[in-house]
Amino acid sequence: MRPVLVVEDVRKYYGRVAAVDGVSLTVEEESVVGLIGPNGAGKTTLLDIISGVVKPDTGRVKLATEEGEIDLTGRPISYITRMGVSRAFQIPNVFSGLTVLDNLRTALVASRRLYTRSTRSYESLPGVDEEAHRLASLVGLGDRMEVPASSLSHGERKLLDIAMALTTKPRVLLLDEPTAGLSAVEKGRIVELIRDLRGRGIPMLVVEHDLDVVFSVSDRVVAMHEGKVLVEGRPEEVRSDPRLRVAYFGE
Amino acid sequence: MKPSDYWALILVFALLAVAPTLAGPFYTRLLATGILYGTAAVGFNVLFGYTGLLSFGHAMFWGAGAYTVAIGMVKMGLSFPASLALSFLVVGVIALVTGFLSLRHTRIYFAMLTLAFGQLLYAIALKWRSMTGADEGIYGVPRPLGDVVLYYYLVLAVSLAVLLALLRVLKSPLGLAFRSIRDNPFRAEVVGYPVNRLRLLSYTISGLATGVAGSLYAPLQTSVNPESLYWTFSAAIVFMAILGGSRVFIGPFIGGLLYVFIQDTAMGATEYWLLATGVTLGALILLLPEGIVGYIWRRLGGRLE
Repeated sequence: MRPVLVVEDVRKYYGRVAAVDGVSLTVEEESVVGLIGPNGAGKTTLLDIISGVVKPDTGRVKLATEEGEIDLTGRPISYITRMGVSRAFQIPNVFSGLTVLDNLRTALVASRRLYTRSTRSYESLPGVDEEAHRLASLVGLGDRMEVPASSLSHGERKLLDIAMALTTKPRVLLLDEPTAGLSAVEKGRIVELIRDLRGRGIPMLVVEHDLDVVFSVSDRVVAMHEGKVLVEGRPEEVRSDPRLRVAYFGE
Repeated sequence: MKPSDYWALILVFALLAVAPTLAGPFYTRLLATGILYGTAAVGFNVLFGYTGLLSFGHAMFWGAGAYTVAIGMVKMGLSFPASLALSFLVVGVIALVTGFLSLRHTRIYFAMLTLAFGQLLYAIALKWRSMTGADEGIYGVPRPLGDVVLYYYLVLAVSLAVLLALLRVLKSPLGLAFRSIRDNPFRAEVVGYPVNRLRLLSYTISGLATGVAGSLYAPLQTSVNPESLYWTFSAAIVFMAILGGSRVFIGPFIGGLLYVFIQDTAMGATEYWLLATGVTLGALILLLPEGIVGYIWRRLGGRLE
């Protein structure tokens, strides 16, 4: 399968400590890559580098598109988002003062760059509300449109965060701990959603602590430890690899 | 029926349109001042209430507008419309330059930088005697239409046009972008907004609206002095916005009207009128944090921004 997102030998130092120490990985089309590793392994830093929050010291991040390869390394966050790399956050990051509908509207306005191109009321932009409702139904928030995001449960906020990440029709979706802090029922909903999105052809890079979730949704799993890739392969291969146990639990 | 921004605007302006028939020339002039203060405060609130940036230097736009019209009409012999156009240009350039420099920071550092630029302009007005008349200011600014009541209606019409334009912007996708940046600038960046450029746009729109109000103020007073650029007037604009309520479109406008009358009454009653306004502001923030109009708005079932 064709690669969509390519990370090449990326390094990030904080002082003399390497948070990410020469990591390469590839996300291919129509596939889910699970990224695991103990706390401090560098998973979130790697997502920060891909999404432009943190600039790497060395290495490249590239995105394959129909028009050819785009180098995303060190580009501004908003550019990377517009090019098709979307991210949902570990701690759901939404506009808490706005309703669910306005959260989705504003994400759509940003991704379609309508903010300086239309003087119509933002409540009557052609195609925007239809898409907002479609995405809300997709993640299961279709009946919560008028609720302020501040009144949503933690799980609902995670779903809204993912729906907002989908407004750009992403080429790759980055999910940072999508099930952290959720109940078993809510976790089930997220797993179902990830499978649904995979079925719609959206490649994903999923950072996740719950190994049962990772192994059940991923086509490939990458395990990181102390900033480096420790093991990589199909879920069942990685699961049975003894090095993984050592990384998580010590000798 | 829930209150709407447009209907509130129409109601208030309808009342203001009949007001001169009841008020004498003194109160008509006071009311015109209030309308201009209110328009300046709504302009300020585009940045403060809607984009989440506290400017402590908005007097620079007000004063620059007033000075440019005065200089244009008195020193350069320009017509009133030409002076207005010139002041729009001058205020726009000042906004772009000071905005570009101040918006490298947000929060208190942004506020401090705007304060510094405001004081810089004040210092220039105070020292550049040949152009600004230094501490005496500029006298004899001709008032178009002559009569206070006629000029009042000009002020009313221009203010209404400014407010309708601002409301249109705030209801457009750009306004939604501003509110998103206010709410969560990092998330706004991640969904794809060029946050810094949009902040500069908000700052410039905000400054221009305040500048237009200021440029109508010089002919109303038939003079301009450095007070109009001094930081205490920047503080007064903040006060007006909070007094009326920064989370309702019309709030700061009502705040501006009330401020003029509070100032007039308190100044007449006591020489400690600054203390009186200070106490009012303190009490208001503690008791009615959403402002007077904000409180009424919420009671009527309206949504606060």
